[in-house]
Amino acid sequence: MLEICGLTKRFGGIAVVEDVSFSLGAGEILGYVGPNGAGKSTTVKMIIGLLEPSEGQVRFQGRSVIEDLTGFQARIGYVPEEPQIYPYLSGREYLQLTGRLRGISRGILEAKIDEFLQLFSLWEDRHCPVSAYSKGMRQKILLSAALLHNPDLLILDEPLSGLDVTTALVLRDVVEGLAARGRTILYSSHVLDVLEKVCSRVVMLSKGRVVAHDSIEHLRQSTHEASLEGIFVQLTREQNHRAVAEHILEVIEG
Amino acid sequence: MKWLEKTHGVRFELVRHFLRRMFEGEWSSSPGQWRQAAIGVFSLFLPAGLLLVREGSPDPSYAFRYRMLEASAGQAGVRAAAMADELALITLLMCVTGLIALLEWQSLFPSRRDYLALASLPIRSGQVFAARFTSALVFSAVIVAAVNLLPSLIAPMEFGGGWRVDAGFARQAMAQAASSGLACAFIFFAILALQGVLLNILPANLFARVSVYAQGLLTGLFLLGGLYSWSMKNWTPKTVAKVPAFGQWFPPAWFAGLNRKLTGEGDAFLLGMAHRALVATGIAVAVAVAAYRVSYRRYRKLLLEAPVRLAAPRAWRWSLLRLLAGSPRREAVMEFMAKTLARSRTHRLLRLVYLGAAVAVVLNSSIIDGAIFARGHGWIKAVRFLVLFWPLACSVVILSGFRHVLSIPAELGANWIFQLTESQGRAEWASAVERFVLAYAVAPIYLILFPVQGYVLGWGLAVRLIILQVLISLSIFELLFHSWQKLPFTCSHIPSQTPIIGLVGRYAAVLGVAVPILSVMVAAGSEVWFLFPIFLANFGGHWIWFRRLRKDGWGEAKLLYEDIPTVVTDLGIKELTYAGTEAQLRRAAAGDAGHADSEDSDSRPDARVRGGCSRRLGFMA
Repeated sequence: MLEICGLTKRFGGIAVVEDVSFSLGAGEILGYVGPNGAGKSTTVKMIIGLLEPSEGQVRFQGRSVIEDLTGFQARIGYVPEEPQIYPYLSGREYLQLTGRLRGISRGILEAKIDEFLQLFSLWEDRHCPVSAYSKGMRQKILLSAALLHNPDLLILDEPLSGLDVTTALVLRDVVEGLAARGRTILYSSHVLDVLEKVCSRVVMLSKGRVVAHDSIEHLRQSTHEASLEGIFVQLTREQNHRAVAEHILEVIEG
Repeated sequence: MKWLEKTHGVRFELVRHFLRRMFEGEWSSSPGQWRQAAIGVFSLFLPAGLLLVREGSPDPSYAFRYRMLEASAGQAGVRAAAMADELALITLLMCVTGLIALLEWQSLFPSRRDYLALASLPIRSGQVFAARFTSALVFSAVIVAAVNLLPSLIAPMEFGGGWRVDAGFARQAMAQAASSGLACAFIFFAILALQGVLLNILPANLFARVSVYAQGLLTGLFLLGGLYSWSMKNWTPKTVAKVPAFGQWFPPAWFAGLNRKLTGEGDAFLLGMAHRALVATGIAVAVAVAAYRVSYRRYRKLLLEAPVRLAAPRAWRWSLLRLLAGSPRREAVMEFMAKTLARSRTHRLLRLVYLGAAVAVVLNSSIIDGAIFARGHGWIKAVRFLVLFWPLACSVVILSGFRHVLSIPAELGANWIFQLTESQGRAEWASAVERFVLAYAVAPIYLILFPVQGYVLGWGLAVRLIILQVLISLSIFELLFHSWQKLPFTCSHIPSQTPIIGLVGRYAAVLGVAVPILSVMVAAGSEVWFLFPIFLANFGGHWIWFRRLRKDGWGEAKLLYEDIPTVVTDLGIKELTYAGTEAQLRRAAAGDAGHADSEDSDSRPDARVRGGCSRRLGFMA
């Protein structure tokens, strides 16, 4: 079980994530949503250990991850928001780098890499540098890299970015399959209709604070909204989107 | 200033953008700081002119050279010495400008990124090329001015005269500025023209590869020329008298001729050279302009349509690298280092620069020593010099070069994968760096030279010699990498603030004093039987001591992903508060667990310890 307890992050005294708490258990897929700049990626980076929290802690299977960060990081798979990969490595070489950094032995690693490259339709381009890849191809490489070591906890930050419809559907099934096999999955995204289909519960973030943490069914009932999109608009209350759209049209023509 | 802040035409805006990119080289990881970078370029090169000043030198034959020549050799001797100085200065300035132009090679023509970024804008390909050419022109003007300003003022006073500013000074200074400035412009445009010609005659898949080799070759040539210019100052009147024999093919002689023509001096040969200088500069500029005009259509196609594919790896069952690594994590880091050095253009070029520098240092020292030309005494003298001096000189240049190249980041944003897996393999990564540097920087020097040593000196002597030399090379590695606390290519980099004069001074001290002394000690230690154990114990003891110092925290302290410009001493006031105590406890816990650094945290206790030592022990870093 992953427990996030009072997680806060301040940059130069300004809190970008404040007192965020939630938990998710084995076999569960938790949606993590919020407007741009709400603090989703900052939370994710604190969970995986890229950023040190200003306050609060992350616990995994009852222990603070600080106590054994090495062990914790060895068990997570992470797909970052931005597909940042060394551009001069080929897709295959990047997967080799990731697998070896995780200490996977050569025989197992090479076989897995070949399988992933074929399953994600990257086999023909396996020797092309990543700089020549499309955004979707890079995303497939990142997904493969996150799954190579069979992680217990999968943290996906906008995993569908750039993916074609078929691959997005494949990924959805993979995520559901992993959850069915007892893996814990934190799914951070803007694509609300996918979250609605995949996640059992969602955490909504606005201006660094949790504004909702419940099952989608309960949220529907409490907000009297039929869709997650409607719930999102009602709870985050960032902007009146219609008014903003009108204003943009005025600016374009003015 | 307000005029600059306004929006101007497409061409102006493109030039502004390209010019910023030229100063914000890939070797600097501080985008947006192009003004500081531009000022830095000036501050690096301006003091270099002070190297011309002779007064104050501890060597009286150097400090009072012209006065002594005037008394002993008369005007003919003074004129010959002045010509030698003039040729040396112009050679040095041309080489420095050439090196800068080579560093900017990628920015001289539009890049794939330019086309992709500007694709959606109503800008024609011709406009992009025109703006690139204009930015190259402005950049060259800035560099030529920075490089020539002080030498143009100092040279007329130093060369042939002593400290006097008379009525002829202004004319001489103008002549110096015009001739050496034109020499720099010639070399800049010749490089521009070379790139343009390569672009037009080579097929797409060959262009990138040939470009790098051309850069490497020219880098070595310019480094050799720059270093040799210090020997040219000491040319005797007899050597200067031979200049007409080879001057037609020696560009510095053309511009020295132009200088003499502008000052109203010079014989028929020098006046002919002046004509040649003007024609050569004209040709270089014309070819560069023509290359720009002809290539812009082809270049766009070359960049956007050329197939990009890396060579498929050979399925060998074993490799030297894998053998050296011994574990998947070490292999990951060593493969990453090898591939970055081979494929990242910036790193490949910098590596070539340092290899060229090593070759230039050893060739130049051999020329100065006279070993290469000592055919009358047989090749043995040359080879003896080679096996005694080269290994240590190469170790100094290549190891300090490696340290620099490994410090330059590659695709900084992609380092998250290392941050995420650091705690699982930090110690193995550190040992991978050590093995890689020793295998790729130190081992080749001795693998190449050991058979030569054995052949020339006999195997017994060669073994003793190489043992002592290897111990010194390893000690140099320990000193240079003592403060190393990062994974290569993954940490941001703030370029050194040391001016060129300081860097030259450090290298001169190490290569001109420390390396020769150590070489003589090594030679004595290997030839005199009772000295060998003493030197072995001495060098071995030092190496073990340096190694222990480096190993203290090496692979244990958290790795750095952000370069820290200066370490501000923490007075500990913050720790007196309750929040401070809590933070201290949290940091201690995080530190023990190897937690990644906080972005808003000012505490990096282990970083301070190792960084602090680096300032004491690191040199040339």
